[in-house]
Amino acid sequence: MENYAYIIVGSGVAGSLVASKLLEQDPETPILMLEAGAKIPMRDRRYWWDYVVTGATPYDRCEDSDGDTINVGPDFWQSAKGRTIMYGGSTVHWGGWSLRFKPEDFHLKTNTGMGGDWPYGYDVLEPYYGRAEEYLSVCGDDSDPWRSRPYPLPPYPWTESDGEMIGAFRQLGITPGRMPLARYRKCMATGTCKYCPFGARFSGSYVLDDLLAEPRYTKFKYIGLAPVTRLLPESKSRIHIVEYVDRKTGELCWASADRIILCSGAYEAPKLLQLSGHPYWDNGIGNDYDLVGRFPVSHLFISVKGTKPRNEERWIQEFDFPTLMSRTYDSEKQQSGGKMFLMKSAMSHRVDLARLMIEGKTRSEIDEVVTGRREVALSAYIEEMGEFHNRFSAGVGTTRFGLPRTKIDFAQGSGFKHGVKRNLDLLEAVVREMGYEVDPKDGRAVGLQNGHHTSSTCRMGRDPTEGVVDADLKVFGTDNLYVCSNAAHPTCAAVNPTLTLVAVTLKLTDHLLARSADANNRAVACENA
Amino acid sequence: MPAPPSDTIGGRICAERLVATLLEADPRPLTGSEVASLWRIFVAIGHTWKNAYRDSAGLKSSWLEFVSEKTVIRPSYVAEYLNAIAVVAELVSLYGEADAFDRLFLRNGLPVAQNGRPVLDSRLAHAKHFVVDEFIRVQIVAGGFRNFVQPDWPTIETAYTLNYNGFIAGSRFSRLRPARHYEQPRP
Repeated sequence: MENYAYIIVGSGVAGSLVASKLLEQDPETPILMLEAGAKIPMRDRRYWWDYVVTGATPYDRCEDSDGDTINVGPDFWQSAKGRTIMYGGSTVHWGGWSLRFKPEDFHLKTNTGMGGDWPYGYDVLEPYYGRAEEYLSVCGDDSDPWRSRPYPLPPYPWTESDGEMIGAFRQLGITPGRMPLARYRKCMATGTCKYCPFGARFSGSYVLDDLLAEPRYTKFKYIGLAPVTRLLPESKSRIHIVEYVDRKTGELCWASADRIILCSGAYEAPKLLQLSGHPYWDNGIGNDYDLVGRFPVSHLFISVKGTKPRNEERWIQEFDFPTLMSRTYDSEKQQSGGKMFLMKSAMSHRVDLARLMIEGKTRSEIDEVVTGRREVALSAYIEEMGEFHNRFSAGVGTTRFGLPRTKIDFAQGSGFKHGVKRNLDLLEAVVREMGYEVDPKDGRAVGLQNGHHTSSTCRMGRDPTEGVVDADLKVFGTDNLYVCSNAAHPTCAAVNPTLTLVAVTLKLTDHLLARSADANNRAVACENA
Repeated sequence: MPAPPSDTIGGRICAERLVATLLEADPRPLTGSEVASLWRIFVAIGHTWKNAYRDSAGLKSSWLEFVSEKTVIRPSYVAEYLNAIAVVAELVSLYGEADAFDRLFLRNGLPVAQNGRPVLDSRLAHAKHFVVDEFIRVQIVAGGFRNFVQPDWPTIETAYTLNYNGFIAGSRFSRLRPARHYEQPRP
């Protein structure tokens, strides 16, 4: 059995960043990375053209499907298409929205009595947010008061069609903002961000490409199609061996490491902990207080759509992402009722010109559609509070990736449901202020509870009665096992969690490098003595 | 009820069912005359919807890349393209150039089976679905969208600030804004 300094489970944004920083410090570091999914070529022109003409991406089959989860609670938690299980992880299909959590998001329980608190405040993570924005090449507006340095790149401009909503925002006392986006490399604004022909939007797969191409990293080993099935301890505090399946041969394999880092996301990390630890942990590693898999949160997506009879300006949605957003209702004042992050929908006003042509519409018929009824939609994410009775755990059977199916027991609190109606009213007020009609039958929409931003299933805490991992992401009761994913976030605020995950990962890599340096210093001191 | 025969277009070739043996599996570059025959279809799209200029010359590099990617890499569209060339040749021989493309683009026209349903494995159906429909999408994202959004394009300068999903517009370092942008009112 091969031994490594580190085994990293998962190859997404967190796993690839941890490996990158460790190797940057010491190119000879022995690291094994295990990934359950396959490798799909990126920046491939044929795949891109296929996506343009058919709408199908080459990684569609790597996304979750309905059968991968078992919902047992009263409220359905939709996981289909929530993640991409593949080389590079879910950043392969993300939108690149890169927003910081705000200072109050780190004290949710203290402020509201609900959800969780982080074991440290925003000020601790602030420098890491700056580094995270540089790492992802985020473009954005520098006006936020909680920032200590400007964004690496200037923001995307508001589009002409944003102007109507900006006017309504100002009438209603809502501050318009520009969406911060991870641009990474040269963006040519194709609007096909789900499969970028240039690799302009950040994806963990590009980081891995660079690591695997670097000739100095001779001891970095990547194994794909290798779902991890168990972690085996050699004592209660030391988790030593990782068991995985080689899906190419069907064989069960083992590798050992001094440190193991679970970067496999908020679905897989809790299941792996629950299934591991025998004979030292009766209920799974780090689960003596039954907190592993508890408190899952994501974001409920709501939207209000309005229509006007004419579109004489011939506005269409020119980008594949929103350029206008607001954090006015994402503030401490709204925290107890559920903060809300507003964005002008990138789905309105869309005109699929090619579809009209394919349907055989004449030029004059298409002109009538283009200048006819115009739609606008204002959408929002609503913050959720983690609750103990909600839980992710291993269900019966395995998915096509060789991972255990996820059993989800989830119920949304009644107070939360009341808040949704109030928030829809706020959105509708904006749309009406713009002069659009809102259809009472289908103008207001509440999405399904959605797994895209799933967080908190192995949350950080100050001690093992409060969380699964400590402030350094180390599982309580162990010396060498870490969870580095959204699973560790005690809150998910009202915004996309990926930038925060990158900041938290950078903090972890500083901790690992410091720990490694300490060990080296101790070894030298012993030798000298 | 079967649709009346007048709804369908084409002759024997269009109505023929496309069996697997007609599909050439091996990828290969198209010959010059094959490219020219397919380009004729692409140019006709711009003529029919009046959304392209100079016989679509400005869109040709994108289209050539698309056709190359679809033929030299598996799964190869070589057989679909050869089929479309034969279908168009039959339509032109029956109706003349302009009328043939109007019928191909603006009518459903598919042969109808005895149960009244369109024959989706006919050579005409394949030509429409795998070639014409995809060429239309390429035509729009390569720049054909502009004229629908600004009908006086390219005579006005602001035409260059438009974008559409799939259109490659602008540069990270360019000062040109890649979409129609909002100008804040002056106080």
